[in-house]
Amino acid sequence: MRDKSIFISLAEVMKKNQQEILKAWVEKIMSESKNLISVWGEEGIKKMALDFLDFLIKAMPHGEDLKIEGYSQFRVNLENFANESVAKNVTPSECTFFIFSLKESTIPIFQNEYKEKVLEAISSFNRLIDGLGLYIFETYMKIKENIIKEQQKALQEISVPVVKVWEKILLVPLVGMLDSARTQLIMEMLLSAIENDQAKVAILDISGIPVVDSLVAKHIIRTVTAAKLMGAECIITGIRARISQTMVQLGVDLGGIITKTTLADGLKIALDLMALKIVGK
Amino acid sequence: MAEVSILMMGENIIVPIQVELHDRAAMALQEDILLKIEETGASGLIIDVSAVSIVDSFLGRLLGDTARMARLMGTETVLVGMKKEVVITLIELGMIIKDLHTALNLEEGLKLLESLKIERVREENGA
Repeated sequence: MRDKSIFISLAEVMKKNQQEILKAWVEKIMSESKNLISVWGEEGIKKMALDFLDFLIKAMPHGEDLKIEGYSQFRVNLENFANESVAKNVTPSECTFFIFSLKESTIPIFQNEYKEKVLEAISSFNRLIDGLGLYIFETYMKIKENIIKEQQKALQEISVPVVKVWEKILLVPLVGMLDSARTQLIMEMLLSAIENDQAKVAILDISGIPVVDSLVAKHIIRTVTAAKLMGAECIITGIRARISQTMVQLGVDLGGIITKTTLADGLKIALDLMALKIVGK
Repeated sequence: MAEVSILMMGENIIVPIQVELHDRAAMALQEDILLKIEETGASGLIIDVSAVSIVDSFLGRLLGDTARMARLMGTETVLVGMKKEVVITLIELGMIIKDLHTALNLEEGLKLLESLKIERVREENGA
């Protein structure tokens, strides 16, 4: 643990010169980052800088470890800042510039106050500000990651359509890569649909799956077995020449499962199983 | 015991399981079912598990075994009304019950038994 005394004294110096620092800092931001100003406006930046400085001076005597209790309020302030930045499409470098520009604004004041010990003061202060910058950056990334996760979830949900094509006949067109998580989802959606519609036949169309390796085949077989246990017959359609070749070469056994090349053939079989027939007018 | 009633309906035995079965009760049920088959010479057996929400590997295997035993006695078994949670659990456990017919509900189960019977008659005639 480093000595806290330097931070206590830094906080005192900053409190004494708060107005000057604020002025220099805001000027620096105004002159170097047009975007921050266009997003928040001059008043907005001033207000943020003021709050920020207040929190910083209050928290600084606790040392440079951002994780401790003394910084909790300040952390909330930083997180809000990061949140707003993400919402307003401010880049992370602009975000961190806001913090880092404080360094330069304080140098003349520290020079005045500390004279020959200025190096120690500045380096300690810089460490603290660097920490803050990183904290903002990390928060920023976390928020972005959460957004991506939510989008993934949303995408996953719309990626498994279960379509009712006829009374008691369901169609699941599979598109894209199948992994364990997605197959699980597909299985659950299909089983719920079978349960709800009391469907007797389910058609799995795999023509939208680019590569069928043994893992994908395993997933498909699992889904088919599950549907069978529920009491519904499963038909796999969309097996192209390429896919049938790889399947045989991989030694995948789809025995006992009805497979067809085209969805139309699959639908015909499904209607057959339901003892239905399409008649021309 | 007699927690689960075993009903006779025409040529078929219907077993609606309305309680969560423990190992001992399940084994007792298996024996009761087989005795009933012996007694009546039923041609079909329907086990309705639509009220069962937990099927562990033991019960899963036991049901499969029961079906195979019934087959030896000349009775086809249809398991009806399995819930999707149960299905997913069985698949996760790697329990794939072979030689066991399944249907969505009791009605479909009865239809399936009927068609199985016709098939068998045809096979016997052919042979």
